[in-house]
Parts: sequence; C-alpha cells; structure tokens
Amino acid sequence: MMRRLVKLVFKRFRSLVRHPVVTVEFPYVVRHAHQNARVSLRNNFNECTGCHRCEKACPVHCIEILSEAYTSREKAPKTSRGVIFEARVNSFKINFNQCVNCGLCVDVCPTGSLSNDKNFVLPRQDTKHLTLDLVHRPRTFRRDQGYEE
Amino acid sequence: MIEAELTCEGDILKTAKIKRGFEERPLWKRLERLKPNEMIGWVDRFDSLCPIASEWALAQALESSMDLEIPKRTQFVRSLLNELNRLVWLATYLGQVTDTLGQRTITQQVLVLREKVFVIQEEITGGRILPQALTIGGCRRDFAMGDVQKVRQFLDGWRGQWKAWLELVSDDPLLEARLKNLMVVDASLVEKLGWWGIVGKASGVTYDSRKHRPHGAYPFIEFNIFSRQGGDAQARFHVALDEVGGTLSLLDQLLTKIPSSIDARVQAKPLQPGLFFGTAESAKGPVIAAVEVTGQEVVSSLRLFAAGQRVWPILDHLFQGMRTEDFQLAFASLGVGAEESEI
Repeated sequence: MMRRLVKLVFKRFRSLVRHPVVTVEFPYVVRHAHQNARVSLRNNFNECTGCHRCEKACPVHCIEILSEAYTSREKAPKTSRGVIFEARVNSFKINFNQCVNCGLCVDVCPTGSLSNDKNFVLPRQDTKHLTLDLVHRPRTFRRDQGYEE
Repeated sequence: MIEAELTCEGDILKTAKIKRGFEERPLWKRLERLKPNEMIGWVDRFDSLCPIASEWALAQALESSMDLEIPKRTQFVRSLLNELNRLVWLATYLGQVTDTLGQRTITQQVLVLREKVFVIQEEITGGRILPQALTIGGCRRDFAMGDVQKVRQFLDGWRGQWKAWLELVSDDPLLEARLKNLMVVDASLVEKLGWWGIVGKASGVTYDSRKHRPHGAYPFIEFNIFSRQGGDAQARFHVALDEVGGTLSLLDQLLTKIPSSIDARVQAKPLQPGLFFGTAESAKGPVIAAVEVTGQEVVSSLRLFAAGQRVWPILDHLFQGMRTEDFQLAFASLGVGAEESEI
C-alpha cells in the first residue's frame, strides 16, 4: 500500500514537471483564433444593400440599422455582384452586450457582406459602451496588432 | 453554483435541501417564440456541457414533423460532433469528482484536456462552448476539406495525454477507498426514474439510446455499452473513465467510415401538426425533446428532458443518513450538478 502511494506521488510530481504551461498572459500574449471562430461581427458596407434582414433575423434584437432609401433605382449603387442597393446605411449598431454570437444574421445576409469576425470587441467598464456602430470603425482588439481605434 | 442547506446530527446528515435554481427555466418560453431554425441554435443553453445533444434531439423532433430524410454524411458529422461534445461532459465530471477529493492538480490537468476539446470544437463549428452547429436538415457547416484530418490529429494528441492522465488516477488506493460504497444507487431506482447515463450504467442498467433508439450514424458503428454492478461512486467513476475510452474508439470509427461525398442540403418543409419526439445520447444520458405542433409552422409547446431533471426532486432523500463529510463527494459523483457548476 505504502509503496503504491509513493509511486503515485512520484508519478504526479513527474507529470507536473512534464506538463507544459497552458495559461497565457493576456493581453501581452495572445492566442491565435481560428478562422471560423464566432467572436464578433464585421460588415463590408460596399456590399451591404441595407435590406434589414439581419436586423429581423436577430433573436435578441441586438442589431439596429438606420438607413435612407434611394430616391430612384437608377441612382442606387450596385454591389460587386451587381445587386442593387435598397438603402444607404447610415448607422449599423450592434449591442455586443446582448449578442449571443448565434450567427443567424450572417446566415440570412443575401450578399455575404456581414461575416463573423475573429477579433474581440474591447471589454468596457459599462455595458452601454458595448453598443458599437459598425459604420464608424469600432474599437476592436486585434490579436496580431493589439488595441486599435 | 449550487446551494445546499444541511441539517446535521453529530456526524450524520439529517436533512439535505439542495437549491438548484433554474427550476422553471424561461428557456422554453423563449424557444416557443422562435422559428424552427432559430430554436435549434438557442437550445444549446439548455445545458452548456451537452449542447450538441440538446440541438440534435430538438432537430430530430422538428425534422420528423417535417418528414425529412437526413443524408448519411450529415448523420456522421452530427455523430462526430456529439461524440466530441461527450468528452467535454466526461472531463468536467471527472474534474468535479477529483476536485471534491482535493486533488487539484489532477482536476486542472483534466480541465486542460477539456480545453483542448473546446479548441477543436471552435475550429470545426465556430462556437467554443455553445457550438450552435446544427440546422434543420443538416449542419450549419459541413466538414470542410481537411477537417477530418484535423480531428484525427487532435485525437492522436488527446489520446496520449488522456493515457498520461489515466495513469495518475488509476491504481490510487486513496481514491478507490473514498469512492467505494459511497452513495449506492439501486438498479430499481434507476429504472423507476429513468436515471440513465453513467449512474444507470454503474448500477447495471445498460440503457443507451445510441443502441436502443438508434439515431445518427450509430447504427453503422460497432460499440459496447460499459457497465458496472456496484452502483456506488467508484463504479460511476470507472464507467466515466471507460466511456472516454469508448468515445475515442467511436470517433476513430466515425472518422474512418464517414462518406466522402457531400450530399445536397435538405430543404426545410412546413411543420405538420402532431406531437413529435427526438432523442440524442449525451454523456449524462439521453436528452429527449418533445415538440407539439398545431397548425402550420406553429410550435405550440416545446420541452426538453434529461435524466438529471427527473432526479432533482428525490435527491434530498438520497442524502439522508449519510456522513456529512461525504455529502459533497456523493453529490459530485452523481454528475447531476456538472452543468450547474459551470453556470
């Protein structure tokens, strides 16, 4: 019995030494996020037609879009695939305090302008500051470059 | 966090009142208001440690209402995701038991293993803890080129580390002595409550919905159901250890047999009225989804059941008369609070 215990203690000490360190000193050391990781959202406004489908699909209603319809279809710009813009997006606000990263908004986007982003949204002291307007470049944490405005 | 009110008489536990919280989960109400595809994404929150099983059970219920036939490759992908997810629950369970025993190093090491499963889960599905991987008629993201190799590579590394961890707990006389004859659960009680999962298997009740109610790719795979006869904490601990080995071998088979051709995605159809069920086997036992559809596209009632829920009302009685110092370990060994410890 005693021998088995001593052997086990030795095994455990050995595993402690052999086990690699798994914690990282965030934000000085940042781990690589996978390409498909659903961490945040980004929108390419050159492709966003202002159809509001993402806003309707969001189950927690965390997307709020303010847009202005084009007066004539002829004057409306087109996406790279030739889809005519429905409206000009003036504000594309996402409340990241409510967002559950379900990705349903990305699924319904007809032009693929809305996509999952692997860059973290910067933590804030107050949750009200977690509502970001994607039209104006949000403050994000880029894993490779650190914080940026 | 779980709060328990204990009344002791000397060293003996007279009454135990465990407050669980989330008794009336508002999740049902939230889900009933959503569209079918949204429901599947949201049902992950039923249990953060068995999200795939919850999604799959609900997807099966909704798919049977739509009368959809799911392609074979999709079934394999779903089964793969479910098996990976089972490792998460089992690692948490083992970590919880060893943590209660005061073996912190062992706990941390098994949680490191769990973290590796989360990493591969995030890589494949995009979600680290709540993958939201399934949709009606398929998976949100089919296995892309190279994903099978990624999972295989993960398994090779994980298996080695698992064996190293196993060496640390196997043949530990103190661990065995503490768990032996602790909180014995009778097979009759298991059958009465439908308390399947590791508790049932440790008591000799070999019910596993992967065998008895075949779903996904499980009919194409050969596997055994691990069981013990003791019904005590030691038997449950060993069943959990065996289950990890079983899951690893199942994952190997699934990766070998997965069809290479990608099938066309099944399109959703209107929901037909009626009462529909779906079952998926998670590590804690089968998760059962029941959906009642009235009229077209209207889910009037939705419920999810897992063995843990049925057991909570009688848990208080089980602890009566046991030694106070054993309470925490006995509770951890049942595995009913694994998900609550996460919340």
